[in-house]
Amino acid sequence: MNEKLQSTYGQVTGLGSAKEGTTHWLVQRISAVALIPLSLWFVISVANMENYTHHDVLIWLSRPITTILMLLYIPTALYHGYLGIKVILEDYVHNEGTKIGCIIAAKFIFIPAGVMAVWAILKVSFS
Amino acid sequence: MQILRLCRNIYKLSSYTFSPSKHSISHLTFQFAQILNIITYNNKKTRIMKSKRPLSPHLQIYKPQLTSMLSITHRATGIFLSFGALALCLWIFSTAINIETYNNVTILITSGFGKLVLFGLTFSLFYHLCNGIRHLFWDIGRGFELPDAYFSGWLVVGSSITFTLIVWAFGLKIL
Repeated sequence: MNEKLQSTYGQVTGLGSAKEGTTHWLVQRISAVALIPLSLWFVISVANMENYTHHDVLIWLSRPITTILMLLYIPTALYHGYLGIKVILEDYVHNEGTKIGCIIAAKFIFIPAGVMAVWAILKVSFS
Repeated sequence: MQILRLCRNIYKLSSYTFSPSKHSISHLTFQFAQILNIITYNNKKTRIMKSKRPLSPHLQIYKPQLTSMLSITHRATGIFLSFGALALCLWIFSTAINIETYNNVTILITSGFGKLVLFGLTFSLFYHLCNGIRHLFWDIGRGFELPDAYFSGWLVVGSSITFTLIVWAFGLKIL
């Protein structure tokens, strides 16, 4: 890179605005690739659910294949979503303190949601 | 501060006349200015004048094009899908709690507004999926030529609408 285009501080630290190099970018692509088959499977499953009763959903969710794929799908989807929200916050929130606060708030929403869903899937699956 | 300003001025002057190579005086001055810059980084005035980077023009300068519109839609659908994923967690949670909670959630989902949101989520998912594949092709260095980018862009629009309609026709037992 042309060194004149970088700020002197940027040259010393050697990292971009996210402060973590290429890891975030790479993990975002890997989770994206994993989500292609998983979300296609999920949409087709849910499209079948017109007029499903509570009992039907429980039967669907407790089938081994559904449990396994849902346990893969939900955390991957939430992680991918969190990574995307983080990039958007880094792009548009300019105050450093507010930015970090927003990213932590996003974490505090996504992680409990994931734990709730995983608990629910396991509960239905094993009862 | 006086020394810093002096150094920066010398550096500016020298970098106009000859480019900084490893052993030139200008490079040494540059290094010195760099060290001072780090020391005084927390000084607000320094932070403001720290960068010579050119800023890209803002969105409203440009005429809307297919490529830029698809790009912003990718982000918008991504945000919407993130909320959808959170809602999905709540839905699964409601099925695990008890039948009353599940039935209340079902009333909400099967209402007109609920179905509109579901339709939006279906379209968002297919759009984000198709355009995401387009992005993955760019990541391996393919499809950057302007005609290719436009062709894949229209392909994304067409396929995401088609897939959404097929899934809804299939779900509502029309197909």
